[in-house]
Amino acid sequence: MVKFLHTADWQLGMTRHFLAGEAQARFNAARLEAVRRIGELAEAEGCGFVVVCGDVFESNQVGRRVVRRALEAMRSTPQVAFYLLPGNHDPLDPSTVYRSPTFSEHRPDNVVVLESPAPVQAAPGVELVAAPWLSKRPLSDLVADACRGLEADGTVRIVAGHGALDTQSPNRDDPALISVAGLEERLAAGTIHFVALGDRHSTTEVGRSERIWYAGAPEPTDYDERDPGNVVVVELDAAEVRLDVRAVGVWRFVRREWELTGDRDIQRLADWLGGLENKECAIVKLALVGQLSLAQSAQLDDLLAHHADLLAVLETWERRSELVVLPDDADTDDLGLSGFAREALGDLREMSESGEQAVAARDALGLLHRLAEAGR
Amino acid sequence: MRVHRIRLRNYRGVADSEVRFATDGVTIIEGDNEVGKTSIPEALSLMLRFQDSSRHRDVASVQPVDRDAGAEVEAEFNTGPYRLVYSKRWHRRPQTVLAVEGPRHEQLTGREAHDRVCELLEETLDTALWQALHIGQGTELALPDFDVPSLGQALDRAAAGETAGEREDDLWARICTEREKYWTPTGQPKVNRSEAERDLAEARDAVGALEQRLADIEADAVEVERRLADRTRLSRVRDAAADEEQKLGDRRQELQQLQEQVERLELENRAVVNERDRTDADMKRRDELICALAAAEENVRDLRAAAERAAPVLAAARVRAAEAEEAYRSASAALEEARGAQQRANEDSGHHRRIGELAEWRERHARVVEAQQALSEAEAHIESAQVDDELLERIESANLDVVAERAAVRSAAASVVVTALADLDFTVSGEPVELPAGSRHEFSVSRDAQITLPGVAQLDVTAGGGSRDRSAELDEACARLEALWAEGGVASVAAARRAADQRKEAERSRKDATATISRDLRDLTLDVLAQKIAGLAGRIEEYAAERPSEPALPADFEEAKQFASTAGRLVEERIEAHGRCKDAHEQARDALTEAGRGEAVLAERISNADSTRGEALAALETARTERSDADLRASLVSAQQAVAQAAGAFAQAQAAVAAADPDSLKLLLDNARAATTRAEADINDNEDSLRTLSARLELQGEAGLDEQLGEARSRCEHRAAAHERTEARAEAARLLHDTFEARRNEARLRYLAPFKQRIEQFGRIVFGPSFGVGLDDDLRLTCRTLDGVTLDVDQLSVGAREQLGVLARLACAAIVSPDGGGAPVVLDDALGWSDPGRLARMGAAIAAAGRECQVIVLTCTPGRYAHVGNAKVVTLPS
Repeated sequence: MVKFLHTADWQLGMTRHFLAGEAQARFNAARLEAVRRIGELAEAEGCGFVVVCGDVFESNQVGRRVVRRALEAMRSTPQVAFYLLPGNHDPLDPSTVYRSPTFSEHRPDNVVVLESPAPVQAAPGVELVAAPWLSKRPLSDLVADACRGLEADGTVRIVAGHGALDTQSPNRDDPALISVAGLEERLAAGTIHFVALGDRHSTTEVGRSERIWYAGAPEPTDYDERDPGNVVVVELDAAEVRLDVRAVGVWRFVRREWELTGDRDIQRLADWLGGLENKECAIVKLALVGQLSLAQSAQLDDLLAHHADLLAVLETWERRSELVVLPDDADTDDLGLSGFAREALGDLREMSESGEQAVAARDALGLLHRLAEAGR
Repeated sequence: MRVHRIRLRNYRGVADSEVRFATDGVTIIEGDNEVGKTSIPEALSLMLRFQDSSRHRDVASVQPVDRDAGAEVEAEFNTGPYRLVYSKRWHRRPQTVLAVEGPRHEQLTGREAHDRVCELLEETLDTALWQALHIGQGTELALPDFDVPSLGQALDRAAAGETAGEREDDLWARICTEREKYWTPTGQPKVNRSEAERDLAEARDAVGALEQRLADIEADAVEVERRLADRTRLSRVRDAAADEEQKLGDRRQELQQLQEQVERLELENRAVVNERDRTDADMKRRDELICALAAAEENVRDLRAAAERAAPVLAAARVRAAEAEEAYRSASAALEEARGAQQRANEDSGHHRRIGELAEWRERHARVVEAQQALSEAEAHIESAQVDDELLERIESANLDVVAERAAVRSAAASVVVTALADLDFTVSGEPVELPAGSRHEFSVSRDAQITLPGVAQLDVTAGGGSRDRSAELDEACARLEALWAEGGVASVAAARRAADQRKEAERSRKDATATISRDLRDLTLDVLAQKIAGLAGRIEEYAAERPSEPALPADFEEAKQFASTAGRLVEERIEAHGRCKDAHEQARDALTEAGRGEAVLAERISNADSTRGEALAALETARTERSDADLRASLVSAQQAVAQAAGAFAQAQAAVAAADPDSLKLLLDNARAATTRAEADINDNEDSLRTLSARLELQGEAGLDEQLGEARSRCEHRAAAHERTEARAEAARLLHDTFEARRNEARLRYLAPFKQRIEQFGRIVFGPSFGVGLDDDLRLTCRTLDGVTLDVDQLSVGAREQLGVLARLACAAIVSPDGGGAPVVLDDALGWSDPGRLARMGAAIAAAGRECQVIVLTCTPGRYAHVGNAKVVTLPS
């Protein structure tokens, strides 16, 4: 049986707009660290090689530093071979990073770019059949093309592919979709034995053959990834396949919707935020809905400010947030204003209920609350 | 606060003085300077501020100097609900005693008493008001600041609103500060906000630029792929073009061979044509030689005939020339003879003219000689005759003098008349006189006379003295006359006249003679004239001697002229004849010369023609010896045949070349070559582009543009979010500020109204019904309106400002004082600047205010406040 490690979608060089300053730096560092961990894991697990199924780099236009560091990370486990497949982000087109001087010059011997569909001997009796992307918009099912003409001759073949599947993509007309049925036929026919895919950042098993997998990204990259942060350790021969999904990611993307209507809700939110582990590597997005008084709103602001400092990122999901702050009588009494100030407060409350200036009036009330509280 | 009573003891110069005040109304305290008026409010103030143990400067200054005692103050007053009797002594045996009389009775001393008073005042008295209502002596003319809490509260109460206190003011200040973070005072966004906006735009531009660069890279990659595909296509095109070129090249080679053949045939053709042309030329030359010989012979014949025709013409010309020469010679001789005759006649004519001239010259000579004789005679006469016109005139004049004198003598002289009675003889001065009887002899005696009657008597008559003088003058005149006569050589006047006439005559003769000489001599002398005459006579004689006798000498000059004229005409006739003969002679001679020359020319030409004929004949003979005429003709025929043959072969070869269409072939071949070149160029271009693009991609590829774009987008979004947040905050701050400001201004207006109303109420008493004032937010008077004219308070006179200050204080006190609140208005010698009329009305206003508050007026001028109707007046003893 051959044992190898299946991973994909490292997306090295990716920037995230919501990451500010040091968070972005740590995020980048974590992803390089993940590459190193993958090598170490492969070594520890006795995997002969690592198949990286596309999107090793976020783009062909990544900087030299990213390329050098990635190669350096792979060099740290020299006995583990890394087979890199060009994907849709880093296709082998004329601008490809894989033929850039930096890459060519610093590529260690254990790193191999799968530049063509010609089978590569990865181990005795084991071939890698790669379907590299040669441009950003291929006009055919590259995996099917790569597998064409293979025969069942006793060689264990691992297909490395990248892209969306015809059974999952919403865009049915894309000529580059990978045909799941075709792959299953070939698996059944014994011409190929495992299909290692990249593109989906969530670890996903495809079909019922147990032999078609998306490894997912080793570190998450976005909120909508269902199960990222894993690699798959595969052990197989023609008859049998053993799979071990292993978590390697450190970072987390969390998106939550909260309804806030009173002090209790704020307390619950506070408890939840407080309970988050490994906060400095958590990227949290909140959708807040509901209605709060001025006092509560101020309380909420304090809470969010506190956790914004603790978490890597705490952002509110503007599109989904509908939090209305309206001063209630208690607010008004709390403020204890009299005379013209009380009248002005009344005016602002009235404005905040409706009309063009409603939002500004609510902000103004918040500000008033803050200023009044500060004066106590 | 209401002050009921104040007692001072040992306070400055005051030994003991107590004043009771009207608690509601006006108290006027009158007193001279330095009796301690000002000390009354001062003492109250001091006792409230300082403890009895105080060493404060203000306290020390009130210690009496004239006695060893502590200053002491006792006051009775209400404040709030409390009524107090409070006394304090400083300096000596300090003491403080407080008695609170209501509402709850208290009795305290010392420190406790002081603290309790402070506490009560803190609770009930607005110290700011206390100070604001006190107008010190001549010092605080400035308008007071009425932003005092009790007035504010009173006004708030009056405005029936809630009290907006310090907390609201504080909040308002913070709202303003918040707004200032985002807005300028004029409501413009602050610079940092526009900078943020600019930063955002820059970040967006940066994103756009990077996106563009990435799009360019992608386009380059696509272009590279396209060009790689082109590489195969282009080489196929290039190969096809090369094939075509090869084929056409082969055809071109075949054509070239054909063309070379055409060229060779053309050369051959040209050779036979040359041969034919040469033979043809030889043939023509032979014909020419034959023709030339014939022509030379013809020429010789013609010339000889002409020579025969010309011989008689020459002979005739010779005869005509000899005749003409003879005629010319005889005409010349005749002309010569006529000219000799003419000369003789002219000489004769001259001879006769000279004879005439000689006669004339001689006459002139004779006239000159005669005239010279007359001249010398006349000159001799003039020389001798002494009487000239001048002398004559003097003689005449002298003569007249004598006559005149004589007449005078006569009249002066004694007249003696002797009448003879008988014949008598006697003498008169010796002159005998015979006087017949009866006659009379009269004479005059100018000097003296002696009449002697012989024998009878002698009478001596002596003239008188006058007569004698006259006589003497007469004698002198006579003497002068005679002297003149002697000068002229004459003896009488008449002789003198004659002599003068003769002299004139002689002068006339001299003049005539001189004229004659000058006319006849002209510029000559007499000798020259004589010489000329002699010369002329000589020539005449000579000519007569030399001249031949024949022909006869003409009789006179006229005849001679006639002969000369005749001879002249003859000469002219002969000159004409001579000219004609000369022309004829020359013509004949020319004709002869011409004829002679023609003969010579003809002879020369005959000689030449002869030699030409000889040469032609020789040339022809030579040519014929070389090649006979028949041989030459045969060669020509065979050359012509060869030419026809070669032309045929050449035309055939040319047709073959034309059939191969060399023009089209050349175009096709050129085209094929161009196509190959172009295909090569396209390939090179393609490769160049590929190299360029690859180099560019390589360069750009490592720049990390994707990361840069990510970072730029990230920056952009952060900035956008920050900007949005800032804008929202700015808007909130603005709205909050504006809303508060609107309400605050409204409140202010409500709040100011009663104060303003009160000031105006009192002011109208003073200034009349048109009086009005303006107040700012801090309740300060800003302007005064009177009779429709509004002036800033700064523009008002000192007096008017002071009056306004008093009015404002009265108004303030009137508002805050009801129910025992507020503080008394203290006017210490105020209104010093007011005129009596204004002062009177101010008094009425003070009285009006006094109905609602306590007013204490201190004055050193009794009567200044006489118009305060209901005042209680206290006079301090001096």
